[in-house]
Amino acid sequence: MKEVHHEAEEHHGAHKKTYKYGMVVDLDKCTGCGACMVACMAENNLPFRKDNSDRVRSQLWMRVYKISNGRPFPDTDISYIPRPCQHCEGSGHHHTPCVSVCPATATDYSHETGIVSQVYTRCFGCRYCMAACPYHVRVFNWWDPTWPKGMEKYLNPDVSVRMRGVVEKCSFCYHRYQRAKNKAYAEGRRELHEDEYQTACTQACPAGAITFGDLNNPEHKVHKLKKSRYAFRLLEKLGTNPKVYYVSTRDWVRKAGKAYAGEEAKGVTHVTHA
Amino acid sequence: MDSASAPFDSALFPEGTKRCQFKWFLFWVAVLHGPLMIGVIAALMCWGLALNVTYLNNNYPFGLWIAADLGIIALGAGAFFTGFLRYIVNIEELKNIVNYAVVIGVICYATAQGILGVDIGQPLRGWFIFWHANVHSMLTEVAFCITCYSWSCASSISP
Repeated sequence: MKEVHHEAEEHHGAHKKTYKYGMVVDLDKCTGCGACMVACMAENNLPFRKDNSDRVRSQLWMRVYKISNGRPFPDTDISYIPRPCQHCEGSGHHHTPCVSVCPATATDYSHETGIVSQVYTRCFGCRYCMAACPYHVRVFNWWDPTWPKGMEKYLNPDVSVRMRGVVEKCSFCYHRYQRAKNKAYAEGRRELHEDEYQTACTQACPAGAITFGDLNNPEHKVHKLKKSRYAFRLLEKLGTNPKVYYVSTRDWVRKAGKAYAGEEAKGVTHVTHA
Repeated sequence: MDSASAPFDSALFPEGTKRCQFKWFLFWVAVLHGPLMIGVIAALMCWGLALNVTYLNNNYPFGLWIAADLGIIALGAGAFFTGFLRYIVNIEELKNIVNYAVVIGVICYATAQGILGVDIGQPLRGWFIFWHANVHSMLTEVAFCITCYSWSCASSISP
């Protein structure tokens, strides 16, 4: 794959070494409608249960959290935080938390795309990655996946269904990247256009709050958006170097997103969006 | 004890003890098998009905079992180290306890591995930890260590 990227570099000039796909979510635009969660479930063949409101045991790759500034009326303010896998890059001696702990190398960091993968057929379900992930993005298959009769015909053929006993998570719709790449190669290109590879949640968001693209490519919108002075990342201090950026003009939202303990989190209550 | 009425294996009894009645023997065996059967039934449920029966969830993927597992491993480590002191460092005073210690060590390490075999989501893929080993993971180190220690303890009590 390296040659491909060198070619791409020459072709495009401004490109750095590799793709580095990432996301910028504008929290001031997010209405908390949950369309991203639904689109993600449909796109990635996520099973659901009769009562899917049991959030701690349900399968959700994209999850919308609701936070509040905890102040009484009229100063009350809320914000929704859509949270896919953060695809941590790590920095220096900090590693991608899940990748460094997985005993069977079932999850890996792609230096080609910056996407953290999950090999379902290699995972044996020790759940160490779930314990290590500071963002709770990883979910375990506590049951065998089932769908109502007839609904299995609507499963996405590009995404494998997962068996019970393995861990899964958001893949930034990696199958879409593969499809876009195949198409580009067939057309003799070595470079993907911005609109050729977009995640399901990005396309589903009615408010246009989610932007997806190559963080290394100055022509992609995310490259500019992430440089906003209002941009931040969740639990930034941990050094996980995530590739999902959030933007909010509200101070308390940025503070809540970055803070993780003690005084810094004071006055901010975290509530799961039901 | 009169040698004529003593059981044929009385020479193996520890000094000053005698065999209890058969009904008491059965009673205590039943008591000891109680916890064991709970474990066996729990294991069969985990394998048969998937891990949702444990009531663990995505926020708490590890349960109390990890404390039990670490406790058992720690006890086994004591046995392993006793074996090391007796057989490698040659501390003579340990000769009376080393056999029991090593037997306990084997039981502990085997039990720890057995618990892990129940707890992981896909037990049949457990060997991937050796085949696809990620050397940066502490769990890989733990798996290699308890496997080596259990083999070491088992070999020291083998005939």
